[in-house]
Amino acid sequence: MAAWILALAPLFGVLADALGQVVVSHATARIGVSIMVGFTLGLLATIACTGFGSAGLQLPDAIAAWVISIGAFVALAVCFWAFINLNITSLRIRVLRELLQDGTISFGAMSERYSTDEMLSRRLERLLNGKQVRCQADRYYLKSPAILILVCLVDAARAVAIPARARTGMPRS
Amino acid sequence: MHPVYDLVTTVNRVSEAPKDHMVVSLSTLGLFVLALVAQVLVWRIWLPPRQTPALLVLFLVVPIVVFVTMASLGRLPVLAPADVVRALLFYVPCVLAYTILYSSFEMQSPTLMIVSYLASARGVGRTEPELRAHIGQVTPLEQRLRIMIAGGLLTEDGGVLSLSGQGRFFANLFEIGARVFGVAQAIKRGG
Repeated sequence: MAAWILALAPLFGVLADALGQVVVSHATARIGVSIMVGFTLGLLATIACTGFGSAGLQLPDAIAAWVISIGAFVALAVCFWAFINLNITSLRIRVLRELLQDGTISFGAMSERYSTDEMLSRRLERLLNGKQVRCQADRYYLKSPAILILVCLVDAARAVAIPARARTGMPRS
Repeated sequence: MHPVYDLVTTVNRVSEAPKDHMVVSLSTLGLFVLALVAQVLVWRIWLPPRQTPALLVLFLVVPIVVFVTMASLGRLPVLAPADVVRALLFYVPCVLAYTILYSSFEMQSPTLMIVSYLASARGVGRTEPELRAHIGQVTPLEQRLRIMIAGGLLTEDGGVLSLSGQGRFFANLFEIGARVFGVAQAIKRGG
C-alpha cells in the first residue's frame, strides 16, 4: 500500500493541481492565480503522499524517493502549465480553434486577423498586464528582471540543445 | 541458443527481491540524463528534419537500447510493479516537459524577442515603431499556415483554409481544455 502511494504520489499531485486550478480559475477568472494555487495544492498533495509512502525507509532510500517524487510532480506540472499556456498564447492553437468555430477562413482574412500589428499589440498588452514591461512617454521599458533571466536561461539552453547551424532565430507559433 | 530463450532465462535468473529505492531512482534519473546527452551529441552529428518527433523517438530508443544491453549481459533487474510505475512516472513526464521546453529553444518566441530587444535598449526604451520593425522579422503568417498544412493540421482549397481530421482533433482538445480550465476569458483579454 505504502509503495503504491509513493509510486503514484506525483499523479495524485498533478490531479490536485488540476482540480485546484479549475476551481480557482472559475471562481476568480484569474488564470495566473489559479495556476499558482493549483501548483501549490499539487505540491502539498505530492509531499503528503511521498511522506506517507516513504515513512520507514532508510535515509538514502527516502532521499532518493523524495527527489524522484518531487521531480516527477514538477515535470507533470510543467506539462499541465504548458497545455494551459499554449491555449492562451499559441498562434497555431488559436488558428485551429478559430477554424473549429468558423468552419473555413480565407488566407487573406486570416492574415488580417493575425497581422504583425495584432501580434505586437497582443503581446505588449500581455506584458503590460503582467507588469513585466512598462510604458512611459510612448517608450517601452523592461520592468521585471525575472523575465530577462528567463530569456537568458532559454538562450543558454538553446545553445546546448541545438547546434548553431540549426538555430533559426525565427519565432514559433 | 535462441536470443528470446536467453532473454527469458536471464530475466528468470535475476533476483526477485525488491530493488532499493536509491537504485531505482538513480537508474531512472541516469537513464533520462543519458537520453539528454545522446540528444545533444546526435544533434551535432545529424540534425533531424523534424526535430520534435525525432526527439520523442530518441527518448524511446535510448531506454530500449539500455535494457537490451543489460539483458544481453545478464544484468536485467526484475522490478516490483510499484517501482516500474514510479520509474515511468518520472521518465515519461520529464521527456514530455523537455520536449515542450525544446519547442521554445527551436524557434524563438515573439514575446521573448520583444523582451530581449527591450533589454538591449539599456534604459533608453523602445518605441512602438521600433518594436514593430523588430517583430516584423518573425516568420510571416502565411508561411506558418503552410507549415501547418504540410504538417497535416489544415487543408487548403482555392485559398480557403479548413481543418483536417487531425487538426479537428487538436482543436477540440484545446477547446475543451480552454473551457474546463477557465482560460477562455484570458484568451479574450489577450492573456
